[in-house]
Order: sequence, then C-alpha cells, then structure tokens
Amino acid sequence: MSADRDVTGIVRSWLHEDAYEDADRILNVVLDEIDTTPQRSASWLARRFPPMSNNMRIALSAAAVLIIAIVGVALLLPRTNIGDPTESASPVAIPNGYYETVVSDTEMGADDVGLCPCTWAFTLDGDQFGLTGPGEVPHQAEFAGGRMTLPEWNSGQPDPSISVRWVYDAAAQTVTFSDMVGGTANDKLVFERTWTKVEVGAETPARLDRLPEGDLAAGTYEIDKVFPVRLTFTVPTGFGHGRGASDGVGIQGNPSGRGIEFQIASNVYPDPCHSGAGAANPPTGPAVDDLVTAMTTLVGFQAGPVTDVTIGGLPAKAFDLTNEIDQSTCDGGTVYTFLFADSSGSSAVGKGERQRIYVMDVQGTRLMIMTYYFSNETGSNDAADAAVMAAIVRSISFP
Amino acid sequence: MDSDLVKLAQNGDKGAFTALAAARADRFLAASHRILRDFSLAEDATQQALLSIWRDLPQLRDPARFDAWSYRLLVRACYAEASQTRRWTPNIRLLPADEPMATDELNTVVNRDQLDRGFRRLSLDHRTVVVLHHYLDLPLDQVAEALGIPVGTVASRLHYAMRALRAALDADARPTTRKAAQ
Repeated sequence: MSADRDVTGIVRSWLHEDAYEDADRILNVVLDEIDTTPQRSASWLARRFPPMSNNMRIALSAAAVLIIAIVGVALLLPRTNIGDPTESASPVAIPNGYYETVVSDTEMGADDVGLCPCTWAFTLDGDQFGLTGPGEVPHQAEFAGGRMTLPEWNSGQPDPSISVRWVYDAAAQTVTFSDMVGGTANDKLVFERTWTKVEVGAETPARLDRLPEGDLAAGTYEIDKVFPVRLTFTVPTGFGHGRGASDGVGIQGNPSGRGIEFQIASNVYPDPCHSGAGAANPPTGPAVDDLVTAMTTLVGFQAGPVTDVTIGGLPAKAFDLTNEIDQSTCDGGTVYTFLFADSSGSSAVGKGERQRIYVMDVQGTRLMIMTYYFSNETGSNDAADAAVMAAIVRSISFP
Repeated sequence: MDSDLVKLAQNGDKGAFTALAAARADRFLAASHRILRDFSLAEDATQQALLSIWRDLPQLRDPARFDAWSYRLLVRACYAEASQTRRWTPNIRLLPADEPMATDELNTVVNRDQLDRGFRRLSLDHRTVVVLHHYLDLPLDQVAEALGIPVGTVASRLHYAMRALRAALDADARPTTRKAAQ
C-alpha cells in the first residue's frame, strides 16, 4: 500500500540488518534426532479394510452405540473427582467459568515494565484449562488430591507437566493456586496467586480485552478496561481487532483498508505534512468543538461540512477528512494528524485515506471515533466501505 | 530440484531431507528470531519445525507446496514457543549494538530501539505477518497459505501492524527531533 512505503522501507531494512543467525548447531541436532524419529504415515492415502459380513457390521454398530451411550452418561455426571475434599482445603470443586486477576507492574520482569497493571484471565471448562490472550490454547487438566495437574503445560520443557494445589473459596468465588511443582519462574505469576470468578452472562456482549487478537465473529462487542470509555458496537463478519502502539482500539476490516478506531486525542498537528514543526501551540482545547475545529482546518486535508449526529443517544459532531498529501515530501515521509492522549504515539494517515470522524463527549471524556477506508484500495468499494462503517457507528451504545 | 528431494524425503531418504533442511535452516532461524524476538526461543522453534517437517512429510500431498507447508509448520512452532513462555516472559533480546547499520534511514540506535519497542508491542499475529511478508518476501497469498487465513486478513493485519509501527516511530522519535532542532 502506498501509505506504508516509507515506513515499510525502514522496517524492511531493520528486519534484514541482522545476519548472525547460524543454524548449523540446530541442524546437527535435528539430523541426529531423525535417526530415532519415525515418519508418520500418509493419512490421506486410501485405507483398505478387510471384507466384513452383515452380522459383524450389525454387532459392531450395536457395540459402538453402547460405547457412545456409556461415554455420554459419564460425561454428563458431575465431576466428582475434582478436588478431593478429603485432601483439599476446599470443600467444593473449582466451578467452570471465567477467572480474572490483576497483575501489577512490579510483578512483571524488568523488560516488561509499563505493560501492567493489567488483567489476566483464564477459563475452566471441564477438563480444559486455558489462559486467555494471543497465542494461548486450552490445556488438558487433571484434578486429584486437591491438586490440578496440566500434563502438557510447557511443551518445550523436558518435563512439560505442572501441578498446583488449589483452594476454592465459594463465598468469595476465588481460587487460589499454590505449591507449584514443575513449571518455570514465570509460571509462578499464574500459579502462585488468587483469581476471582467473573460472571459472564450469555446475553452480555463479549469484551474485547477478553478475546484473543484476531478475527471477530459477527456480533456485538464491548470495550471496557482497555479504554477510558465503555461502549458496545456490532460488527459484521470480516473484521478483526488488535491493539497497536496507540491506546486506541482498532477494528480492522477484511479486505484491508477499512476499519474503525476509538481514540482519545490530546492535540493535533496543524500541518500534518510537517509534523516536525510540532503540535499545535497553544494546544488544542479540551472541548468537542475545539478538536473539531482543529481537525477540519488541517493543512493539506479536505474537510467536509460538520454535521450534528446522535450516536448511542449522545450528541456528536461528524465530518469527513480526505488526505491528498503526497507524503514523500513530508517530514519522515509520513503524515500525522493528532497525538494520542496517552503519549504513546500519533495517528498516521495514508495518501488516499478517507476518514469520517465523530467527536463527542461521553461522561466527561472526549471520544473520537474514526472510521476510515482507502479509496484506492484494490478490490474495495467506496460506497460499500462507507455503508459498512456507518452501520457499525449506528450500532454503538454507551451502557 | 526440490520437488524430487521432497519426494525422496517423503519416503524416508535422510540425505534428501538433510539437503532440504540445510537449505532452509538459517532462514527459519532468522524468521523465527524476528517473530519471537528471542534467540533461544527461535532456536527451539526452528528445531521443532524441522523435526515436524521430517515427521509429517509423508502427509504432504503436493511436493510443489513444500515451502508454504514448511513455513506453516515454522509458524506453528513459533506460536507454540510463544504460548509456552506467555506474554509476561521477559523475552526480549536486545540486538547487538556493534552490528553494521544497513541504510541511511536506519542510521541511529534510537531508530532501532524505536522499532524494537514498536515491534514487540505488536501481537504475535501481527509480527508474524510482517516477518513473512517483509523479511521472507512471501507474497500475501503465500503468507495466507502459510498461516491458514484469508488473504484479506493478512492484508488487514499487515496494514494494522504498519500503522502501529509508524505510530511507534513517531512517538519515540519526536522528542529527539525537537531536541535536535533546539
């Protein structure tokens, strides 16, 4: 995409500059191991079965039905083997559900300073224990003797198993893990602490901070905790979410080149092409109109008329911005329009990017909702993009 | 020809597999290092990926798809390593300071630190797409095949990642620019 040309060059140079990886040692290890590692058979090849009589088919079918029935009944029975009350300090099993804990910044390693305080979560569903978050997967859990054992917790370790003692406090709805056996020092952050059960009703919108980054199923979602404004919105299929360097929440479209971001802006660059000259001084005022005025008078941008709209029952100002600046002539080859309130960065705009921006006050916080699409994006349809984004904005509510 | 080597390796020819692995091991290690931002994890991921290739090679139907398939196994291995270490692992290995700079644009340690910080803030999904496309030079459709996701999702992730990196560069660079101008 043309908007990425300059940063792309920097990133590519950076990615290619390291040349010290030498895999000879690994290769030798692998070549040693294949001597004792059998290859798996080609499962896609047609399998041949010996001829079977009708009587044998009927007998096997009946046996299969019986086995399924027995397994089904067993699965429906309560998990009586979880948290043996004779050995555990807990009188009840750990209930299935969603559990959260808050991790402080001081608990994090030195290289992760600034990532917390943050909320971590795990889910327990029968014998499946899984942390939520990118890259996390459920793990088989075995409960016995007041302990929970995850046999395959650390697949890359010589001993992948980890075992912890658990105590569930039914009144407080907390589970406390302790006495960890196996695992690494990092695992203690999970298994040497108390987690609180959080009820998540089926009718409640899924919270984005509880979902792995990536594709979103069509439906209604809630933004909370990760953003100063609590809101819900509904997306069709083909969107995904993630967090970048900003404090905003981005919902990306598929195909690319369209999306919606929720941002808190602190100031603007009056001349986005020459952002090296600095942000507005004096800074943009705190009112909705202050930001609208600043954003609609950006040098080099075409701004549409400002209109009054209602989003989620609250008044908002709406306007269109189109960037036609050739960023190759700009400071750093990039066009920046405003700064994020958390000082984590600035909003970059690509050539041809069309934004429809909504600015509104939500209980004292100035929220900017920015929908965007690239008019020159291959395969995109401007009218369709705009309609999809408008529908998402119409769905926004502030619970 | 690689397809011939693949067919031989599918039938247990260790010499053929050795040739295939040797031609890719360095590249695998470099890619996984960039995705995981940790050298020891990258070594583990590369080792697991190569072993998986050997073990599962007979299940590959089309030898011509070997490269895309092998990258898929590498990405899986990277995700497995990242999953095992969790996001709170202090797994960032700062790049050696005495390495040569590559371009005029990338001519300060500050820039490298900016990129390193910006890159690690990206999710694993986003980092993987950036590395496959901008480091391994895979076209978007091959990235999609390697990841098992639609091309549009690849493009979307790439777009998001580059926006985030742009913002990171700007956020970190601006005070330096101001200072230099004074």
